[in-house]
Amino acid sequence: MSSQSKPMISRRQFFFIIVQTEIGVGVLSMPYDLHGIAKQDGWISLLITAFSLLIILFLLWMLAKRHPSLNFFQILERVFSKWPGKFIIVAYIIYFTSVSVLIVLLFGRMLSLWVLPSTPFWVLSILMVSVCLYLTASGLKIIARLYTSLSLFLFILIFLMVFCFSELEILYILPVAQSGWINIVKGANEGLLSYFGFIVTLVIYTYVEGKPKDKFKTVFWAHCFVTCFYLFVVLVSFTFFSTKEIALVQEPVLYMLKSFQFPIIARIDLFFLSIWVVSVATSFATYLFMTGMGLQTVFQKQSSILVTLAAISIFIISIFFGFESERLELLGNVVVFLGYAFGIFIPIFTLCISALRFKAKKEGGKQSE
Amino acid sequence: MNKVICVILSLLVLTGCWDQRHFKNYNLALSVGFDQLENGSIIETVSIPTIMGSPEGPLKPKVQIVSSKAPTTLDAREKIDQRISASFDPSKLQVVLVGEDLAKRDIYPVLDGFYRNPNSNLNARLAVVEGSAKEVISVKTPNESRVSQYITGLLESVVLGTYSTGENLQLISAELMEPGEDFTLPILKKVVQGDEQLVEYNGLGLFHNRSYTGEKIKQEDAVLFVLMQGQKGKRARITRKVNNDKAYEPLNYVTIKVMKIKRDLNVKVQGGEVKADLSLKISARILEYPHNQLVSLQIINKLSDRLTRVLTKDAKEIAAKTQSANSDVFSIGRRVKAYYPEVWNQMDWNKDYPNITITPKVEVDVKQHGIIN
Repeated sequence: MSSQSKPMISRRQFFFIIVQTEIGVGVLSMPYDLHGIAKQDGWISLLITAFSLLIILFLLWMLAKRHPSLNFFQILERVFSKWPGKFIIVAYIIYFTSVSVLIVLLFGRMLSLWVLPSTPFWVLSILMVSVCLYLTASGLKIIARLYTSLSLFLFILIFLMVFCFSELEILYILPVAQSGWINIVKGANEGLLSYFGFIVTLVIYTYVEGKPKDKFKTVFWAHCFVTCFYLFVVLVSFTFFSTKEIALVQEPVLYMLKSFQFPIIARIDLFFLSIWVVSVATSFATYLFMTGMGLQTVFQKQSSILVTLAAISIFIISIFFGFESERLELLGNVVVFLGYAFGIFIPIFTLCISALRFKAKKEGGKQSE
Repeated sequence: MNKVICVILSLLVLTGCWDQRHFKNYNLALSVGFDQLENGSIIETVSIPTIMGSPEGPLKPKVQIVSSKAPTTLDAREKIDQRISASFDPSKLQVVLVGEDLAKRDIYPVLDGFYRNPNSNLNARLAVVEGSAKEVISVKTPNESRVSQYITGLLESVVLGTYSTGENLQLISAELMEPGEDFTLPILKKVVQGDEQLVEYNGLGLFHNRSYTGEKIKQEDAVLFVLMQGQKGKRARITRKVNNDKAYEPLNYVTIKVMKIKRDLNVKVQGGEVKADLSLKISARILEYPHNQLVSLQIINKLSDRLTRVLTKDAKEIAAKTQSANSDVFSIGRRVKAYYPEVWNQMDWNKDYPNITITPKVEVDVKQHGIIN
């Protein structure tokens, strides 16, 4: 099946794909979500999430390493044999689609709340979907290159937040561990939402150049980078806003920037938001790409019509769903639940089955490089 | 086919059209004031600058002052909207003034609308007005065509001169909500000088939780007070009486410029009692001391000692004042909560702040004395 030459990407590009996929729509509201449960100790929850994810990433890597020449969907087909495998792939496609819908909805809600209150949602949705469809249709290599160059924007985001440093009050995160360890561990669940892009490491693993060990190093460093970025965001917002206040502010990062002013840019928050849109687009594009990959594996067809169909259905579903708070909350919870199932449980299950079925036998030959 | 796609795609670039806001359709309100009426409703006063074209000569800026009465701020805004030519838009707001009576009740209700709306400008400066805010916004000054510019300029220079901590709408919100932390706002007052109307800075109003306590730090103590909070503007000058023996009054005074400060706030709990040590080290330069006798190190040291004594006494008075007003502007409560959470849980900070011990200590070190001795 994978007889034709695969598009290979370098490890650096792999790094940025992971980073750009993980950092996305959640970054604006993450401090608020963490605070909702773990109060000022939300940053500890974040660290707990990061550490536990590291173990899961290691397991995912183990799975991918066992089948170096196959992508994740092909692994599923091989491990579970053809039809059950296809069934699981379809489930994954549904999962990726629902994440994509959630991303578009959250994106649309944020924009209509902050900058474009009277622009109809379908316009925002079609913009996002069409741009990302265009990107995904050009293939993994182009995506990887673009993500690498877009990563410059992440540093602008960090740079903008540095402006708040004069107003930070470290006192606000003290006393440490006041909210009790149960809440802190519960808060780790909230943190996970911002990390769900990690499944991409497994899906595109086979397209990355290099030895398995080096690839894991890349995954590790990408994960560390994302964690540091999140930790920075969380600590800045926790120390800028008082403990009481952050409970009222759903997008602390934006809100914080609203009170500052550059000589030329009066509203830094809007500036920040437009850069954030890029981060959202990169996450969305990755999910769309993975959906397309799944569809191609199911139908055994290399064609961009499949991914176009997926994009159109995401667009239509998002319009009919609408970004009403309650429904969005529900969808968010469903996606988190599915995230546990598809991001953690099924891959580990696959790993176990794979270990049982292919005990001694190695995957056919080393990958040619 | 490709052309068709290009045309369709370029349509997407036009998305801004839904949310465009033409300047001609809006009247930008630059300053807004709120006052309390006896019956509980609010008077909102705004100043709206417009530029009037005249047949000959240059364009003339004009300011329109509109005010209305309503139970809430947004309701009042609607009423203002119905009195002016275009829509009222607060997104470029520069100053928010709150009348004394309103501030004494609760300032949060009038600010909520600003916090909630993504368009509002949270950089806007905030001040309390002695008397009514309407009076200050309606001040007609000959030199400044716009009252908002006048008040913003005034508030900014107050910050530069270390007379105020430079709070804006966003920066007070943390202290507004967090228990164990309070804040101050500059107080403005309308004064009449001959036939001219002016606005004057008149000290810092101490707040407790969300309301003005009615107590204020006087204008002459404000610099020391802001320094005690560990903040310093571009310049900070303090004038104090250091001698008593000279017959001619100016000879008894010295004016120093604060070059550098180092502030430490130590909060301890000893035997269930909260003790706060506030130490402030000032390195200073003499700006004015009309004696021409700053020749020896001894005299300079003596002057430093005297200033240390006088300022420590003043600092004690300031600390006592914040306690009698029950306004924890030094965030001592938040520190207790941070470092001694068990103690904090047993205390009711709203009642206990006046009973804690605050020991301020100011040390002045005269480092320079200008270009003459």
